[in-house]
Parts: sequence; structure tokens; C-alpha cells
Amino acid sequence: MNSLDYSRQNDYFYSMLEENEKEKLHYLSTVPQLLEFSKREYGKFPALSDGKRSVTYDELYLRVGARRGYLLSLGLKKGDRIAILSPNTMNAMETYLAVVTLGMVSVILPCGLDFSKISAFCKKFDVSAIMYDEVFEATVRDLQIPKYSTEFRITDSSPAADVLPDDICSICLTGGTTGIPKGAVMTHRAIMRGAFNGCFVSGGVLHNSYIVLLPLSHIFGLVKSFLSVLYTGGLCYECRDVKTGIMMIPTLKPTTLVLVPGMADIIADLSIHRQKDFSSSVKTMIIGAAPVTPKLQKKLRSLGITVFAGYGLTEAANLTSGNKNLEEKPDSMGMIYPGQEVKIVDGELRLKGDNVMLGYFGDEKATKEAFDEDGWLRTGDLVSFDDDGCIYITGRIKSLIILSNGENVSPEELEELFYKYSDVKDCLVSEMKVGERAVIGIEIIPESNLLTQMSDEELDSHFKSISNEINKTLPEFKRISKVVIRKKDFKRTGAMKISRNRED
Amino acid sequence: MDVIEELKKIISDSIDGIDTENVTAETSIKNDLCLSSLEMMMLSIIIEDRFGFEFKDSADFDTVGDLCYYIEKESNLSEGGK
Repeated sequence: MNSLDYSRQNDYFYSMLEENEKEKLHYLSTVPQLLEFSKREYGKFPALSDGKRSVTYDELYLRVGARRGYLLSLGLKKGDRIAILSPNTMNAMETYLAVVTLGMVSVILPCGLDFSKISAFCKKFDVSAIMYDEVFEATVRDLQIPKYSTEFRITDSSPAADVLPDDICSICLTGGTTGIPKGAVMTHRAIMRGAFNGCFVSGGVLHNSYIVLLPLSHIFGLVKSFLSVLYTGGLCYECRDVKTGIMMIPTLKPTTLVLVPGMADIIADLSIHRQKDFSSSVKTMIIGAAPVTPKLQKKLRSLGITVFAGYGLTEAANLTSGNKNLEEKPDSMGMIYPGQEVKIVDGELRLKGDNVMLGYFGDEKATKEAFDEDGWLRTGDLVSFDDDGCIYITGRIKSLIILSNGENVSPEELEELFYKYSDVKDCLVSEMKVGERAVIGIEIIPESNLLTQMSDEELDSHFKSISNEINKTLPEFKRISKVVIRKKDFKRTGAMKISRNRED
Repeated sequence: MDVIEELKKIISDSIDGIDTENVTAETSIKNDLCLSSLEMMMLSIIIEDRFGFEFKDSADFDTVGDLCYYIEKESNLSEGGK
């Protein structure tokens, strides 16, 4: 077992802040404390905006108070789990703050879900009510739970509840290490550690402006592009969808964007190839959820944008490590953030700290598997550290495919869908190249009788048709893009399982 | 204007690693070009800018030919527009 020398962590991160920022920013352990702090420190500064109207931190504080009064008038109470289904609107952000400052538990659902999945999640997490944006009115109509719009109502205000750091704040959806959605139970202490760590950015962290491009249902979006922004007196522009958000960059002129690599690539390409001003206001891009390639780093540097890359997991409130100097160490995920302990066991990074989840909601088995016998969170990532204490991801224990849009795809989950077809004898999902591009592909060994009955073209067409049928049931990012028919058996392990080590 | 040739140029200029030499009207956008949703989004921004219209939310295309037809219709090219 190795453990890290932590003495360099504080220096690494605090050296990014200016003196006035170091004096102002301290760890707060609950969201109510954050709201009080931001009102006190930033009162007259704009906090949220839709591009036409904005609310200051003083006004945000009052509006959240009124929303709390509304939630209580509905008969909801501390400890209730409240689903939120909305694009990244001002209403959604205020609703989130009202829910968690009342000691209720937020369950922010991804916007792309259909009725059956929304219904399943509401049942799985035993939510007491769902707060929804008007665009989802038809989608939620038939849900058998109380449903309320996120529209603001003028009601009597209510103070924040007496929330303790170890009270549950949010259930955050994650694929975990297998890609099947689970709900990571995060305390206020954990969420706030993530939000505080998100304050460490160089080049001036106070009063930046952001378009909230990443979904609030993803912990990276919730923590880094919302809660950390409130911590630092910044301005969050609402974003109803990514395309509209990107198109608003020239108008709203954000100084900072929190993104996945795929989005950063698009913005860089639009700036470079289309000569449109999608980047001149942007001084920093904070990029995570997937690695930032050297090519993307170079593109962004050519636009004068500083890139801050990081590594983390939903289960650890998003931010485990951050790299403040990609030019010097382009392949590193940076230094471990303060407030965490790490160890390496058989090459795997394991974590303990304020930021770690309590477990997966309603899933004892998955929770038990997520932690080792000494209570350390298993990340599933193989890592090494250099002499400076900076971390490098060297591989994965689990076979997740990590996409440039930050989504995780479980090959096993997709393979199971193909195995339901009797024509599929064996199959293996992996990341494949189409030209220079990485896509999700599948190699299929057909049942023997088909090999004699069908030509190669017929086999190709037949299994592409099966793949298309399966793709229709999947969200876009999980869809199979390439189907390869294989006649030779896969390389196998000693236990005769298909080896995922692609050497054949 | 040859919309398909214009579209091929936009795709090859905008998205790394795509060879558009063999792209035809029958080419499947999802299965043959393997475009992700982010790449489709970027293309839609560039196409809107180039042809002067906005995609409706409900717009969906299987093939390059379907997309060209949509572009012609929405930008009035088939009626002698720009």
C-alpha cells in the first residue's frame, strides 16, 4: 500500500489564488452556509441571469427563501427526496438551493429521459415530488407522484432549516464503474468539499461569468459550474440546451466555461475555422470528465485560452485532482485536492475524505463493492504518481469506455442487449477507430448456421439491422456506430471469457 | 448550387478524421459517418450559418440525401434561393 505525501497539496492549489481570494475563500460545510456567505460577500453582484434579466446575490437569497416557503406550503418536509427535471434555468438553480437548504434531498434527473425512465428513477429513489420545467409538462403528466412547476411564485418566505454537514444533500446519478445508473448519496459536507475545491483556478477566480453548459444532473455541472460559481461571486447564465448556450457565447461573453472535451473542441473549431467570436471573452476553460488530448490543448492555447483539467468521480463529489499546468505536464491529472486521502492498492487509486459518498441509494450490493474492507472508495482507475506528487491515469480495472463528452459506456451492458438475439454467438463492444475518430463498435461472431447460409454482405446487413434496432432503445451516446463481423474466435482468458485486451 | 458538395466540404473542414470522398446521398449520417450528437450539433450550427436558416427541433435525418433535401427546402434553394 502506498500513501501520498500531502504536504505539497495546499501549496499547489493555494498558489493559484491571489491574496484577497485566499482571505475570502474558506471551506464551508453546508449549502445554507454557502448561501449566507455569498449574500454577505457578494450581495450586489449578479448571481444568475437568463441573458435578459439577472438577480443579484441579495435577490437570490430572498428568492430562495420564498421558494422554501412554497415547498413547505406543499406539505414537503426535511428529508423528503425531491426530483428536479429541468434544463439549466434560473428557476432550476433556485429550486435546487431551496430544496437542499430545507434539508430535503435533491435528485436532479437528466433532461433526455423518456417517461418510463423518469418514472423508474422516481420510484427507485422514492421521491416525494417532482419539480419540473414547463417543457416537460406533457412528459410528467402521467407520473403518479405530486408534480409542481419550477416557475417562481410569490409566497411567504421561510428560513433555511437547521442543516448539518452530514445530512444528505443530493442523490447524484452516476454510471459508477459499470455504466448502469446508480444514485450516489452525497452529504452537504461532500458536495461543499467539491464546491470549495472548484474554487482553485488561476488567473482570478472571483466574479467570473459562466454559461452553465453542462447539465446540473451531472455532478461536474452541479458542483463546478454552479456551486463553485456561487462560492466565488460569479455569474451563472442559464442554458436551456447546449447548442443555444454555445450560440450565446458571442453575445453573453462568458469569461469561464466548464466543459467536457467534446464541447471544448466544438467551440475551438467554430472559432478557428468559422472565424466567429466564440472564444475571445473566454480566458479559462475548466475541462473534465474525459482526458484533454494534446491536440485540443494546442487548439485552445492558440486561442489564448488557459485550460485547467481535472479528474474526479461523482462518488467523490467530482474533483479528486486538478492540473494547473497542462503545458508542463500534458498527460497528468495534476495534484490531489486538499481534503482527501489517497492510497494505491495493486495500482488502483482509492480515496477517503469529506468528499466521498455515503453509498449508492437502495443498493447495498453495489455500495459494498464500491468500498474496500477498510472503507476506502475504489475508483477503478489505475494510477501512478511522479516525483512532484502529480497523478497519471495508466488504465482502468473496469472496462468502461469514457467518451469525449464525459459519458461512460459499459461494454457489458451493450453486449447483453446483443446476446438477446439468437443469431449472435459471441460479441465484444469496444472503442474503435473510424478514420481518426473513436466510436463505439461491436465485433460479432454469428451463429455457425448463418455463416453457411449468408454471404458476407448479407451478414453485414443482417447484424447492422439488429444493431439499429438496439440503438433505437439507447440514448445517443451509447449507440453502436460500427459493426464488424468476425469469423475467428476472440482471444480468451484462462476462464474462457473473452479477453478485453485487444491484442488479436 | 450543389448542396451535397457544399455539405461534404463543410463536414471535411469541420470534423477531424472524416473522409468525404465517397460520401453520396445514400450515406447514412449515423451509421456510415458515425457522427456523435456533439458533432451533429456543430454541423448544424455551421449549416445554419452557411445556408441562412435554423433547424427545427423536430428535424431528423437518416442519410446525407435527406439532410440535403431539408437544407434545400428550408433555405429555399430549390426555388432558386441563395
